[in-house]
Amino acid sequence: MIAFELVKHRYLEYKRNPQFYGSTFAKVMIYLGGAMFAGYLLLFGFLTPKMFEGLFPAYEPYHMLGKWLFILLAADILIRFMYQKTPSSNLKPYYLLPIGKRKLLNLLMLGNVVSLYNAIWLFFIVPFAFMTVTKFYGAASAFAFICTFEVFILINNLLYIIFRILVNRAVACILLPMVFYGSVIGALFAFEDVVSPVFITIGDAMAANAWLVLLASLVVLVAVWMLAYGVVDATMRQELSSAAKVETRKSVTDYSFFDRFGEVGAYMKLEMKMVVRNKNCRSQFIMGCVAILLFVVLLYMDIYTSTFMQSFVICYVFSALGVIMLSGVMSYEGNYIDCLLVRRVSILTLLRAKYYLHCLFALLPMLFVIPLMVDGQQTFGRCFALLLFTCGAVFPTVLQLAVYNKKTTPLNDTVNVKSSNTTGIASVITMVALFVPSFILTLLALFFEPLTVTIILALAGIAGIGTSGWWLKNIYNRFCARKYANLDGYRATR
Amino acid sequence: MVEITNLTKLFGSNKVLDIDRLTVADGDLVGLVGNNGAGKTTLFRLMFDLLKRDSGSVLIDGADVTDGEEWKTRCGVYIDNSFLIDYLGPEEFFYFIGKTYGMGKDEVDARLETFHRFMNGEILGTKKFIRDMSMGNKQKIGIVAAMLHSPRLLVLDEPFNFLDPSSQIRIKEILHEYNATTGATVIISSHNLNHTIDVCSRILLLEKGYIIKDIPAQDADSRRQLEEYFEITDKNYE
Repeated sequence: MIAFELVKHRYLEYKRNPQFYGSTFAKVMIYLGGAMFAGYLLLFGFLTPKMFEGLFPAYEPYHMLGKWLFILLAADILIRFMYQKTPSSNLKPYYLLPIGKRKLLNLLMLGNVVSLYNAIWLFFIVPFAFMTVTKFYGAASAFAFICTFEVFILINNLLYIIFRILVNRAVACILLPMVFYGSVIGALFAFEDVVSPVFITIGDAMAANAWLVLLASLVVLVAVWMLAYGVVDATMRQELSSAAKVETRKSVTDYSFFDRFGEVGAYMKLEMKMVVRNKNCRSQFIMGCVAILLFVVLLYMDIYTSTFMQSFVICYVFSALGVIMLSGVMSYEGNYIDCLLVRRVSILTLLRAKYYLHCLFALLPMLFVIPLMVDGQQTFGRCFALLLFTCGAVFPTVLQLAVYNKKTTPLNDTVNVKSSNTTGIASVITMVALFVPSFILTLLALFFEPLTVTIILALAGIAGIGTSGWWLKNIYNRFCARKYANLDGYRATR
Repeated sequence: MVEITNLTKLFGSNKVLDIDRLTVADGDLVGLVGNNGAGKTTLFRLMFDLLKRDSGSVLIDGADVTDGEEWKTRCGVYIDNSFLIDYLGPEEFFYFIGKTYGMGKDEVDARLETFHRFMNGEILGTKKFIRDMSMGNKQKIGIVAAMLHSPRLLVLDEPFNFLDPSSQIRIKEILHEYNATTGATVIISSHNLNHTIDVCSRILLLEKGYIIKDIPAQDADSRRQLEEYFEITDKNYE
């Protein structure tokens, strides 16, 4: 059966991805992280019914689940944006074969939807349903309740596919999920008397008329599937035809400002052009800026009270852009790595250029946080110390990926690409770069005065910046040691 | 210029290249021919340390290519599209490549002038990025970039591919002239026997990773030997 063969190809594509080979440590870390997440969900599954009963005695726990359903789905889509791969596949080789295009695209979407992550929510909903729904409606209704919840998660997955593809095509589309989830959640808080009963009724129906609601949710699932299919199909068509499209540009910016920095400047120019002229790099840059803006707004609204959350958010403001962009370091270069490798010390110069340019980009958050400084929420000293810390500690961490990334990332195609798996050590290093600084900041805040914390951060940053020549050389030497394996990976994924 | 000793490469248990000894002298113009899978591109990748060898050595000007990078300044190579940075315009790409060899813009412009006829007005000043150009023009850009810094060793993999007949003739003239005037060593691979025999002074025939013939191209018998090997008869042209 051809469908089985195609599914097998998708599996082989994943299994034979060079990034996945030989990174047992990273695989173990990812599975461990997944197990911890499942553990937390299981705990919440058992705890929330009692908690809801205690906090909202007038309602059943499934009413409250209905009420907060949209917040849960919003959190789910946020997690997907951070970790789930973009639905993508190299469908070109199949396109002219006598295989139905509909079948191809449906399998592509199925490959994204059949994800262990979707099943992980069962750890929460199964205990929750059996502790609450069975009280009045029996085990069969609890089963239907669980299925309905899982269908909602699948619908959310399909919405993610739509949003993700649209965002990859035009970054402004990031506003779509923000408006979609934000408006409902906002209405839930702003017009609680009107909106809240609607969702409570949904929660009630999920338990009382479980099979009927399940049927209705399946209809919605089919409708959203068709919508997602339309978006994937249109994008695929556009990407396949773009090869024939030849553009002539009216003007081309040369970034000659960087000429004054000699050879490193030439590579800084190259990096700048890569960011600006390629859709995927440009999207990452804009996404990074949007993330900074979002977190600055959250800080400005003063909704975080815990030291850890405040530390996390302010660290994220400074490191988000660099981490997002540098997590794919050398993957874009995989497209033209041979060109660089036959030139003397070009990889070291490229790494230097990348580092210096991203240190320049790191100045952007300083502009974004000006309102927070004016408001008195953050001091200039703390922000400047965080800037130094980002350049001197976070960037060296994430730049380690230059050694381990061995998969070519397409510069412009978003859907019609060989593979978009981000697996292995890349995820681990990115997580360390994102979360460890906030842990450090929280720990320091526990033991020292704010001024001392600022000084420690600044000194750590200065030390990292001061020794950049040494650690960049170290990364370069390790890159050279793994050169052949990485080159094989780049070629295999071009 | 190039000394290869006991060079082997295995993909799994399959030996794809096994060269006991090969010396290419300064000023040689060598053509590498062989069927698909003979090991031509693999040999080029091994020569420039883009692939891990299983044994042996490749010396360029006496230095092993895995030991340092000094040899890179003396070499120019174009194998495939991965040697092009396709989001740059052609001029930007040439200036960038020039800069990596310490060449200023004026120097690059002067050098590009010598390729004016070869580029045929389709490359410079078009305000297109390389990615938006035809395969033939991409091939031309790759060749020009490899020759930009006047390397002492020039290696081109399938330089006639994608080129129109006039450009194929022009590149033959360019390679011949470059070799004759600068004394540079030139190594090309090609499936086009006529072009290879026309342009090269020495031809190496590769089969399944082994060099099975090393023949002077000027030898009247060389064409017959190669045609015999590739089973080319008059019948093919009827």
